[in-house]
Amino acid sequence: MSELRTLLSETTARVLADSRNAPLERAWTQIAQAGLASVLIREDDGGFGGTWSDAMIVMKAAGQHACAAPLPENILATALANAAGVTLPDGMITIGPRPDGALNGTGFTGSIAGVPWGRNASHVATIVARGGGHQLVIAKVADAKITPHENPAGEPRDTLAFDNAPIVTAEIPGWDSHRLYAFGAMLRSAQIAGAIAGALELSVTYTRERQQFGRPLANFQAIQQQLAVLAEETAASDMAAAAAFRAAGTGEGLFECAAAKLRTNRAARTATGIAHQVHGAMGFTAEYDLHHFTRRLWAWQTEFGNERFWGGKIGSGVAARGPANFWADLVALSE
Amino acid sequence: MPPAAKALRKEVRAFLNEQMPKSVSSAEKARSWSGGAAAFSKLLGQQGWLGMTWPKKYGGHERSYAERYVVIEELLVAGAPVGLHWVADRQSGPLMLRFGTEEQREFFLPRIARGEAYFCIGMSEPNSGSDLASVRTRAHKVEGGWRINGQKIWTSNAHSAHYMIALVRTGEAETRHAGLTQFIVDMKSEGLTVKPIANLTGESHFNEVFFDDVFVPDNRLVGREGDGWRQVGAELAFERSGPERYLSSIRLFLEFLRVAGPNPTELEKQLIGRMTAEMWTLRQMSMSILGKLAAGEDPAVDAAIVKDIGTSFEQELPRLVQANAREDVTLETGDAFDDTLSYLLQTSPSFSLRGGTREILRGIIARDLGLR
Repeated sequence: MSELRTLLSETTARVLADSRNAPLERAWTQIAQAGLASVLIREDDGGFGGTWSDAMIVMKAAGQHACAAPLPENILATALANAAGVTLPDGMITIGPRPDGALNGTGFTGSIAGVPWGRNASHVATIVARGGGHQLVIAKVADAKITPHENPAGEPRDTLAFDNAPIVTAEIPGWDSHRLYAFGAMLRSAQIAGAIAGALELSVTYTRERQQFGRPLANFQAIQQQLAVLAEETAASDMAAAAAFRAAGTGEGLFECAAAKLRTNRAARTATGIAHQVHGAMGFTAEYDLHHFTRRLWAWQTEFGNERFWGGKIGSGVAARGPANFWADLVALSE
Repeated sequence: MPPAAKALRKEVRAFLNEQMPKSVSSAEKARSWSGGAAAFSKLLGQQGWLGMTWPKKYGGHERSYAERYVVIEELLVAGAPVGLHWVADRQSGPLMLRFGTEEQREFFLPRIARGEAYFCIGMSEPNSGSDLASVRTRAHKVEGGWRINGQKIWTSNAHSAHYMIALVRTGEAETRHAGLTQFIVDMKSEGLTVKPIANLTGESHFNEVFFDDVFVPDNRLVGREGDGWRQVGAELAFERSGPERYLSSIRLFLEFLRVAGPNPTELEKQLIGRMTAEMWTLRQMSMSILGKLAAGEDPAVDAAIVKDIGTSFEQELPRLVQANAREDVTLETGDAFDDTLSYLLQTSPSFSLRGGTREILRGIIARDLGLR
């Protein structure tokens, strides 16, 4: 890791650990002041001037510290603004994953479901088709009728309804709502990698301390073998997410986003099972920290596409290309 | 991957297109590094694709690790018969480069790089499998060399190899990890007997090897006397992280793709998508270790992780394909799909055994986690 990345990683970890139990507004102020949401913004514009791989460091840390704020979403919003050549307003900007509506003149009418921290954000950014192209739409949450929902981890996932709301809009070349959804999947893959790493750390610590039959649980081969699998899944999810973020910085990245979400979803399924099993009843309590990771891991597997969704997308594409092209295509992704 | 690797990949594909006979069946290709052909090994040597990363003065080609990786990837995916020279090129040569004497390097490496000298690995014994440190085959010092007595087992390709890198005891039996030494044993030595063991398919790839007072001259001791355990450990990252640890069933995946056609069922799409994402992830993991090996690190734990995930995948693939194959698949008709599935169903149990069992690998990972 470069020196700059080490610094970014340490700063992110410190800020997220410090702000973990603070009310959202205060936590967000700390996050914003540390510049974590500005990792992709150019240095000239007061940002970190980072790449998508730098952004992954922040997003993975968000997962590893169970960050209860739309930090990854805000980073994605800055990338969208950059692609569309607009400046984002100040505030907490979230993403609209599933817009269902239309633009008329300069207003947006329709609803957006599953908006992370919609009720807390100042603005929501999404992509809507108009004419032959695609528009980045930035709407004020204050103009929306909010129907609150939460995912299983208790994270706000609200429905925002707009009625001819005034918006900022601009053509966003190279993007459409599917690409936005795929990048959302990439965000979650990094968070999943972080949360699995968090669950592994807790599991190792717990099994080394907890004694049964006169020795630590960690001494039992049955436990060691399970935790080894958990460590393997940590490595696999980290690698899959990192490869997707690398691809996002250099090319289209759609296959990689899909593959990373598919693989990290699978890792999340295995990891939550093992982490809970080795913790016994303690891991099932509200008091103990494990559920901050595992409930998010369950929620995030569904958000931005489950295994069926992405498996179908990749499967169709690969089948259409046929066996003669399979390997050449796979290799070409990394060249 | 550097640009040179991309050009090389094209070259390897063109070569394979020309040199792989069109008549080779899919099940035959699935054998890949379990199969072998002497003429093909020599041909690879002529191409400069053996000993690729070694110094030119030892017959090597001073290419990058990435370039070697490209070549072995393409060979494996094409199902080329690479089994004869595989061990020599992958680990015996690198072992000698790292620990061998100048004389050993000058003698053996050019032969390996020409595809003329094959090696096997003499590690397991009848009572010493996963518990490798308990090996009992013993070398005792005699005038001008050593005399080896004992037995090795499960030695792949002992029947076709010219040499064995044997791990034997030279110190006190009680000391376990200490007192082990590696020797290069000529397989034509007097007193050495190779007895094939048929595997469950009836083919014989592995063997028993008996040592009855086998003489090995002093200049065939590798590295330092008593340092064998450490030297063996240094080979493992090479042995465990390569693409052969997840590509063993790719032939069946390609058959599955062929039968599914361009408009697969929903179920087939799901499987294809999932297996593709897994191979993509494993390839990233395997290549990241390559970077560490090239930088001179010893990524033993990362390699154990890749091997366990990779072999679990290549082992699960035949089972998944069987469970989800179309109803006209009978395993009886002898077409390419049937034969490949049938072959891999039977051989895939070995994938998580060879080169360190799943349980041993997980033990290594658990130790790294501080659990033992």
